[in-house]
Amino acid sequence: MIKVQHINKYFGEVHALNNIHFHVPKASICGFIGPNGAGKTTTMRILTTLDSSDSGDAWINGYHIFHDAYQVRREIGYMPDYYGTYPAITVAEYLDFFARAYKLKTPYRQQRIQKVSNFTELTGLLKRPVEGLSKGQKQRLSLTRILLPNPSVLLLDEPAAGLDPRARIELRELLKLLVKEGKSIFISSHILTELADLIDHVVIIHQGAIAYSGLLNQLSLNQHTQGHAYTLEVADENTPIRRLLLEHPAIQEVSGDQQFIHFYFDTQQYRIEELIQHIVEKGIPLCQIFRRKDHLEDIFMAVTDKNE
Amino acid sequence: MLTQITTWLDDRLNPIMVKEVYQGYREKTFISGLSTILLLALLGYLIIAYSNDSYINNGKDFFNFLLVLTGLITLFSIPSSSANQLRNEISSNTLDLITITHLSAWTIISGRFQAAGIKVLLLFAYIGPFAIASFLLGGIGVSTILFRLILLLLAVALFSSFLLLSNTLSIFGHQYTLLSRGIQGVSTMLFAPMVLIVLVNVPDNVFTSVSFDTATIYFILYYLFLILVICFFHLRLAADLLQAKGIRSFYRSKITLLIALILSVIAIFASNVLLSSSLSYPLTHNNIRSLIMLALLVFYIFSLFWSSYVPQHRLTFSPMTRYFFSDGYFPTLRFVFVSTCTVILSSYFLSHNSNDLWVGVFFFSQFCFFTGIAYFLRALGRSPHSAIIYQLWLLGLFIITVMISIIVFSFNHHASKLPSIIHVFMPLSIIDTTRYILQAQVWNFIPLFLGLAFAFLGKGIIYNKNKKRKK
Ligand SMILES: Nc1ncnc2c1ncn2[C@@H]1O[C@H](COP(=O)(O)OP(=O)(O)OP(=O)(O)O)[C@@H](O)[C@H]1O
Ligand SMILES: [Mg+2]
Repeated sequence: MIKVQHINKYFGEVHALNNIHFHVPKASICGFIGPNGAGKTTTMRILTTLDSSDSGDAWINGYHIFHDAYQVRREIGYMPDYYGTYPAITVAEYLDFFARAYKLKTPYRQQRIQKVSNFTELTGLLKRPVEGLSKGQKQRLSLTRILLPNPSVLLLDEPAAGLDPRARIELRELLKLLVKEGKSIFISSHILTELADLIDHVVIIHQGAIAYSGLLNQLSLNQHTQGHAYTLEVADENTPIRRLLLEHPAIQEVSGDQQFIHFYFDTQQYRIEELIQHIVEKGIPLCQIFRRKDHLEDIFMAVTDKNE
Repeated sequence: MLTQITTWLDDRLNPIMVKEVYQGYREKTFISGLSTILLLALLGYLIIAYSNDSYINNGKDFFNFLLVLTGLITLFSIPSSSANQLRNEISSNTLDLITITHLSAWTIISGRFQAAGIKVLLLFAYIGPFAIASFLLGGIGVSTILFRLILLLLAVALFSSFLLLSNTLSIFGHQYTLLSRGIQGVSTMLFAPMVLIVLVNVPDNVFTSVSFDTATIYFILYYLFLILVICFFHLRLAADLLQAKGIRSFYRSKITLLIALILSVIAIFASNVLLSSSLSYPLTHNNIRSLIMLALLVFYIFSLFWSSYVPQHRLTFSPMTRYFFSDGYFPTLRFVFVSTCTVILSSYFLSHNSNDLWVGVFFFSQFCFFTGIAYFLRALGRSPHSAIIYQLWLLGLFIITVMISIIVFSFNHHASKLPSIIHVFMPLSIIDTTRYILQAQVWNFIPLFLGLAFAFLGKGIIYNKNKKRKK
């Protein structure tokens, strides 16, 4: 659980964080989305007690980040946006060092390293020198490192940056498993869609201010009155489908070509099933209809535009 | 049973120390350095043992050769390499990863110190057989060998802790990284050769003529204690610096220095009582006073740093701690006031010499004057680099006053009232400070009032600026 209240941070004249205020409930996975320089890393460093804020408070699992800093460190696992490797030691020694630093005692320490590296599929690399690992392997090493003390809150700063699609999917699966164990995860990224089917909460930060915070599926409804984005494919290109859609009271914008038609549908007042039935009844040959994911990107742009 | 003990020990080892030693062993420079030493020592031994065998001082020459060899590695290489690693970890941010583990800042710093110690002991173990060989060659006693090695060990400890401290400064940013590199370079070039020259050139009878009576043992213990306290303080201050910005506070090192100061004052007097009977050179009151002044001087150098530190955290302290030991200019001012009073009053009650009181006034007054003006200047331009500006101004003030004092005193051999009044504004004695302090009397208060006036002006400016910013 993370609670942040009215945090301000200046770097000289730069107002890096402007009255940041949000809440991440227990056992949830929250995306922290913002463009470059929005203040994501700064926020994370404050939450992990590495940096100070100029005003405001924050709590992690009920512990205040300044007054109970040492307790906060026992609750969190922080993966920064760099890897932090050392020359001339192997993966096993690296993990052993951090396990010692987390004060794990002898029989348990080896067991824990074994268990976590099994989980992150690092077992095959234990004898390799840390510096020679690839980006994806280093990323998994970082994840292993922060999981060693079994923290209840994970703060991950752009963990997917520089990973190939396959590694991204693997990372996502690992994170899903961790949430099932009851951990809260706070994960930052530039791209909302990348996290869309992973996260349930979202905090959008733009130019140091919070543009939106709350449930992901409420984001679409609240922020974008036009409703959800859908795409529809028709088999026959010469049907009056466009006119039909435009006539419907729940639909506002229709775009796309003759075969693939994009539109926004207000799901708050109308039901999409009824629309489909209506189209079929009119005898228009419908191939498929699906809800578009990249719609989140539109919302993201809308949300961040609004704040400028 | 044995495995139980080793696992018990293993769990209690400092992880940083374990990592550093591991990494050290893997490094090519360490291994090649070690083998070079062994080779050179062997070569030296062969040359000396099989050349002019009638020469009586063979053993001594060989040992001095060994000492220089060991000294070169232990003074030039080991402290710098552990300090370099610390600096690299700070500037590459990997230190943050360790900071948020369950290790305290103290463990992180002391682990590095321990690792350096282990490397030195390892080196000593390697040259041990050669040291014995030098004894067998003749011309040198066991006590001489041991004393020199112990002295070298102490010098290395002192130097390592100092380098660790100075390199921790790079936590403040890029400029400080350069500064700490500079300090490291200059101090290595000055300190290491000095120690080596002293160690090789100390006349042998200093070591051999020692008779182990109570007074001598006390004397040795006192200096051992003092060196260890200084090392401890260096590491403590480094650990305080190393804490994450959000929770960094210097109250632990302040308390450490205060305790060290009081202990050393007490030890000075105790040693005087103990030694005056047995040693031909008892400490006179003037000697004691200059020792105390030296202690105070060290104290002020660090206090200058603390008073320049702008706290970044919003920690809550208990009222007593907040008032005297928390961070920033005014708490440091109170802290210096109380500490000076403690030291000077304890000195006064032990010696009943009221002149000591004026020494106290002089020191506190100096502190107020320099830091007051600097604080005022910093308040005028509160920029992100204000700490550096602050320290540069302090340095500037020091240099200017040193120059003035040198000029004034070189023209005024027979001091009248005038130079002693000027002297109250001068930083510490290049000349006979105590005499001028005593001559100046109440004039010693002038810098104090001036400094305080500037400080309060500065506080007003900062208060106004903050009010504007809130609006
Ligand atoms: N140490 C610093 N000194 C000065 N300015 C800083 C510092 N750290 C961050 N900033 C500024 O604060 C703002 C927020 O930076 P931050 O690193 O938090 O952004 P971010 O959201 O993590 O960006 P990115 O996606 O590029 O990692 C930026 O304008 C940056 O220039
Ligand atoms: Mg960032």
